[in-house]
Amino acid sequence: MRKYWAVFKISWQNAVEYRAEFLGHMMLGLISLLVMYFIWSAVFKNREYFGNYTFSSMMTYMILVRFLHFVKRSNVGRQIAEEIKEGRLSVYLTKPVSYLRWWFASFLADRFFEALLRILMLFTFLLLFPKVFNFPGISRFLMVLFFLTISLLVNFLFNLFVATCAFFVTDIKLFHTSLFLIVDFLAGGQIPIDIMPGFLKTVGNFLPFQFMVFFPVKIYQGEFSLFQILQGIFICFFWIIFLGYFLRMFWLKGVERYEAVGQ
Amino acid sequence: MKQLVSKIRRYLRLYFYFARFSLENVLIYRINSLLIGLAPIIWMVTTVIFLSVIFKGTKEIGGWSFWELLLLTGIQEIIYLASWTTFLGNLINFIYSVDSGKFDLTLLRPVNHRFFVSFGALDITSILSIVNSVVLVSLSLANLKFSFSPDRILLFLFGLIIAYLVIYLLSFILASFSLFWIKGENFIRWLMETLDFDRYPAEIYSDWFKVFLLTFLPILFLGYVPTGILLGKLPGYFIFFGILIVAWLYIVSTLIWKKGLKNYQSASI
Repeated sequence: MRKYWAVFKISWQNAVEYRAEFLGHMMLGLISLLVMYFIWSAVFKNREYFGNYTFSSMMTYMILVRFLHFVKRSNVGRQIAEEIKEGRLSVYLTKPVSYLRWWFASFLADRFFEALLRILMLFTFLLLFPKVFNFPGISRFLMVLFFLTISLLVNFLFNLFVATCAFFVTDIKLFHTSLFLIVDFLAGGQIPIDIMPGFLKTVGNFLPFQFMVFFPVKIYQGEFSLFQILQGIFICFFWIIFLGYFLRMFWLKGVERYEAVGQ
Repeated sequence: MKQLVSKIRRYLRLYFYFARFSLENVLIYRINSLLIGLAPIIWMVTTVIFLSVIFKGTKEIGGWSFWELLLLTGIQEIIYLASWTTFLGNLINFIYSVDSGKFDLTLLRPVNHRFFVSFGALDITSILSIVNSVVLVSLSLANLKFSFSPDRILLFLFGLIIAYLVIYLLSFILASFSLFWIKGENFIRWLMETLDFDRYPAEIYSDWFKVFLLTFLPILFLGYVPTGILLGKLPGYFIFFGILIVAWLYIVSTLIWKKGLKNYQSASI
């Protein structure tokens, strides 16, 4: 466990090393929030409701989507796929460490850092536009944070699952970009799933991506009963087992096939 | 004059080799050959869905109808993809090369360094996607009932050239900052994110913010200005403003580049 703690610490230090990047990172989320603020202000100009949403509930949704960006980020999958493609995986295979645990420690450090950034971004936006965000209390917020630990695990496993494709097709850059655009959309990253057109709503409610954005935001907004939340957690665990099982299978097959080409 | 012609021919030949090498680099992997251009199609489909959902509740946004907004999206996407095809990826690689110290190798090449870091490779994956944007623009134009005039089309074409130059110069300036701050990839990402402001009509922004996006960070020249001119929503003199902005950005970019080169320390590796 100590070696993975060391990986966590090193990854954390890497993340905080450059201050300009730190600032730039925070700005990124703020910009897209501002765009959403203007566009939804225009939509709500002559109306009070859009679906079941008021302006402030829609903005709360959009703000939390930006906050939850750290949950649905997909850089780990891309990095692992790149290591497989370049042959750098060999370095890890000869070390007395579990490659996946190594990455999980690095993933956690990275996400923890980004979560802090996103909280800062959230507060900055709230200072600028204090009236648009609904805050239902700390207990609901903590409930969301608890749920996010499960969402992160789903995301990590899905990222790894996608990365293993690199064993079979070598370069997955284009596939990865295309796939994660779909993931972002079906997670509710652009519009809430409940106002999507019929077919997409059904697909979005079936796939696990909703647990990265839509579901936690809805928990926060108090739209789910305790039973629905527990049901969500149960489905999440089902997906974790499902992804974990197939990941293990593909990973072992992939390592067997791995030829360490590249560098 | 003869020297200039031979210099241009040399750089065109060099650019042809860059393009051929880039294409070979992408097509070397079979899955890439199959998926080339897919990501922008997905992005476009999700954007159209987003806009159609929004327009369920309203007939216009900032005085722009659904098809006008799709036209704006299509035109902006053409400029954006042209940028990706020709220089954005190169500038991101340049930032990484400054971070790793590999920029030294570029400085040793017998070629104009600014040209090389900007146009040293082509992202062929974006070229096919431009076709989707052209389809979207054509579809929008077919659904918009307005009459074209030759002078408006000419101004629009000028607008597109200005749009390309503005995004290039802005990206180049931000990429050149990495010569001072080393880790500069976020600057480009930051610019890409601000392009979202240009995906919607500027009428939805407050006046001061609109002025800001037309002058200090002139990203509205990418999609909003050419589209506005084509639709007759903006007067033609915006093109003149655009030329002034391009000239100003060129001066700034040259100053920052030269100062940055002096500042470069070849750290890392």
